[in-house]
Amino acid sequence: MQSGDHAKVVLVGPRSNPRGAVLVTAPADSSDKAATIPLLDHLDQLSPDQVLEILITQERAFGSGLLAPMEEP
Amino acid sequence: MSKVDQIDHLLEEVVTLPSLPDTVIRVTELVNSPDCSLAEVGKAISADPGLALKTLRLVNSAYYGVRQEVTSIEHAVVLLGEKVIKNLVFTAMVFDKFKVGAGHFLRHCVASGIAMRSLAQAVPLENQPEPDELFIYGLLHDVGRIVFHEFLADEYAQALGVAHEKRLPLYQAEREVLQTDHAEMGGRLAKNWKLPEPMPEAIAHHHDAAACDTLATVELAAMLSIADHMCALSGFPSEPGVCTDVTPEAWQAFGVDSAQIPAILDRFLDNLPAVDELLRLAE
Repeated sequence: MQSGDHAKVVLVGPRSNPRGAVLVTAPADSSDKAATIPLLDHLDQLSPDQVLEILITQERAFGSGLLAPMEEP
Repeated sequence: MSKVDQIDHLLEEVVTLPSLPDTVIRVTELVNSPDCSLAEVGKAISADPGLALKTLRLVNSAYYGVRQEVTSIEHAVVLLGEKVIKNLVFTAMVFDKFKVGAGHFLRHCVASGIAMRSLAQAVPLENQPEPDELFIYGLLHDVGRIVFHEFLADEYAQALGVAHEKRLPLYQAEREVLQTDHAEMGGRLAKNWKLPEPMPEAIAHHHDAAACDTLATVELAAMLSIADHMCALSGFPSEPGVCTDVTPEAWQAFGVDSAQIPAILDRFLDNLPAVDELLRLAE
């Protein structure tokens, strides 16, 4: 992320759901829990390139069918 | 051998660049002329019955949204104006010429046209062509691939192999194998076709936007790079299974921030049904 922190993106639903894509950040130390934050509230933490790839992947996985689903690797 | 020399060598010794159909040349000349009359443009298109028919089918498609049925080219020219007609004629020409590969290439070209139109609608820039004109930029941006496909098939296949093996974008693999890439070749072809600047330069640098001469052209080349990448991510790649990228310089040149991406994608998805509709018309 722009802050230098690392996060994983988890896609769980369509773009219309504010929590359809979340960022899971690593805990600051072993006693903390991982934080889960909605992607749409933190777009400024990612580059346009990253946001484009995430949103298109989300659309292909959970969208209205305008885009072809991702093929299994 | 420098890049420019390499392209010149390819153009002089290996490749005979495909020419534009006479009708397209004539229509482009007429539209670019200050004393152009609509009747003359109509007559020039009607002289090529195949192109005229395809143009009429496009005019009557939902993409152009003309409410009444248009049955003559003359009527279409009056209704839509000569600039839109020029774009239509180019689209019809591309549909005739771009049937290379397994259909995915034409699909990528049309989707890129729609992506350019969507980018322009979502992020209007000053001093840039209209969204419908930008559709043509997207439609033609990969025209250099046709040259590689038709005249340098073995080297192109080798470049594809390198791209797969090293997980490189195809333009980088082409540079390794051919010492040039489809963007530069396409820019040369566009110049050869006498397409008006800045289209040839934007096509030539769509994987290297910073190399353009003017700020306006840097923006156009950056838009092409983003449209190209957006289409590949969305399932409309020019070559299946090959990765694509957009340089940070291109993102910066286009001047969008991350918060604008959802609106860009929404606009692209709104316009996307036009891809299938236009492809049906190409059949």
